[in-house]
Amino acid sequence: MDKAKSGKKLKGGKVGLALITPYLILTIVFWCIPFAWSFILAMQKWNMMSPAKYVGLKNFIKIFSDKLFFISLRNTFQFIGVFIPLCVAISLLIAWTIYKVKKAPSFFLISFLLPYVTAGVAYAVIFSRLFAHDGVVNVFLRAINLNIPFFTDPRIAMSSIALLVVWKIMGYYALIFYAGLQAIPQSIYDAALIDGATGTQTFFRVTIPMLNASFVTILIFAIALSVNIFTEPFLITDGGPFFSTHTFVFWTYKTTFELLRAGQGSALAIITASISFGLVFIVRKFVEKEVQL
Amino acid sequence: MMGKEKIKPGHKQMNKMMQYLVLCILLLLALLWLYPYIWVTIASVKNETDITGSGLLPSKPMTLGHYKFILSTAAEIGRTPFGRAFFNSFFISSTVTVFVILIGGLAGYSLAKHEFPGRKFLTNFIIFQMLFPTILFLVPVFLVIKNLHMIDTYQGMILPFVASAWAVFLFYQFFKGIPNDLIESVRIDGGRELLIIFRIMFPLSKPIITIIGMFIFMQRWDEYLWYIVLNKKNAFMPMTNLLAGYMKSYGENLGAQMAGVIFLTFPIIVLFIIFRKSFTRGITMTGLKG
Repeated sequence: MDKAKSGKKLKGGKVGLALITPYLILTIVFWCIPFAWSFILAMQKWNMMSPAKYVGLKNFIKIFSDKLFFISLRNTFQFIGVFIPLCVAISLLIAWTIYKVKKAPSFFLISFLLPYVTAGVAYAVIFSRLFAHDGVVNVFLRAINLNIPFFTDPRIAMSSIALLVVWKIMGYYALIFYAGLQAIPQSIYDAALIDGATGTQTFFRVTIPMLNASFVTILIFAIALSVNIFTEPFLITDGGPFFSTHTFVFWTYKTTFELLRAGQGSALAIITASISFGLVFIVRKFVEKEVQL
Repeated sequence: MMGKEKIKPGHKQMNKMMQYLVLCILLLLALLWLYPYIWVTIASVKNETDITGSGLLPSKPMTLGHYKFILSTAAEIGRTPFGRAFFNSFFISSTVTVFVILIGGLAGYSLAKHEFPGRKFLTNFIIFQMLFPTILFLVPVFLVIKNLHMIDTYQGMILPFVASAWAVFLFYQFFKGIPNDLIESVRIDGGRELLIIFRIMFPLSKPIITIIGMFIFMQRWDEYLWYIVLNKKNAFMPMTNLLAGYMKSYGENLGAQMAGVIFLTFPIIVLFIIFRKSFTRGITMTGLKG
């Protein structure tokens, strides 16, 4: 396919190589070397000052036998459990509604997308105030005699953070769904209509399966985001209360740059990446399907 | 059931009433989504006690004191003023953006339009690179920067991000679609390769440059974790880190935090509104291709 489109390639190997050289040099220094180094580091005990010591898989064993490993895993899954279903449902619903109503679609898409450009630090500041025990949200909840300790109750702190991230990222996913909806050919809907399918049937039997590619993309993005969450728990709750927002990236950061254990930190980063890969693999295996037009 | 209106296939004509109701709900939701911005804008000019208090309406007159504090008073008591941090953020983000486009453009062009040993391998390698999360690189890249003696420098916060596999890939895809005749006609006239790139390829790829530029700039502007690792010096501190510092260490000064949020978010919102078309195109492009 790539031949047919561009025809023959221009010759002149030297020029071609010269043009890509800046990229290659930088990639070797800031990608290839660090990539290899992280695996070497993971098998060392090193405080970044005195000489490093080879310890084999000890770093990994230490992490897996640490209570914090299960706590971080539990927190990550609590986040995923709230964030992914909620965010996918809302964004699909919004995208579908915008698509159906057909009134000012770009206005709505842009409004929902706006939070996406906001820095994590900025909305951590805003929401730690809005959701505080005397913040605006609780002022409204007081009307129904409720006061939710969003960030101070260890049982719900991680879910509260998930809510903020839904606010931030929902518009992005809605846009992906919207593009997916627009890509569904009308002829398929015609066929369903002729077959006498009801609106609900059409939605679940035609629309949802046709959006498979969008679902897979969103799930992969959402998993990467969930496993790598850092700024919000670091700034809003500092991993607490009682380690209830202690995440893997948070742990990696603390271990490496506060406890100065570069080896263990690298091992943690590798574990974090592996969890991310594992979950993406599961999505690819069980959700991704070839959709035949 | 459907009256005389043209049937839009797949969309049963919604009841008019129903449609307006849905539209209203959608509008309310959009407002809810925008509410935090409205709130923070008002909070930034409220009196300190009005921000911490539970009242929704201000009880004391509005003030620009918080802005004055973060811009000048902070410096007098030995903190980095926001103006300086604003410059740092802008300088770092725009430098990275320019380099990502230059380096990525050259590399993408080379992969798309040149034949050289290892081209196939490099193309696959760039796709391979995009698979790995950045957390994997946090510790070793910090050590590389440390060994290059670039901790606490601008270079240290710029160099690790100027080679973007994602940008190369987008350029590569774009240039593949440009016919070779165009390039060859210039070549026959004795045009040099760099001339082709800067006179033809880059101008042609304006849409893709805008997308890459927008996303890279926004990413750098919003960055936090990498900067706390790579820089401890107040003079070079980007705005995200300064604001986080206000939040972590000077928790009492809420008005200053809100004014800081305005500085951090509004430039990027203005950019977003100007380039919204490229932005949404960028998202749908990556969304559809997966």
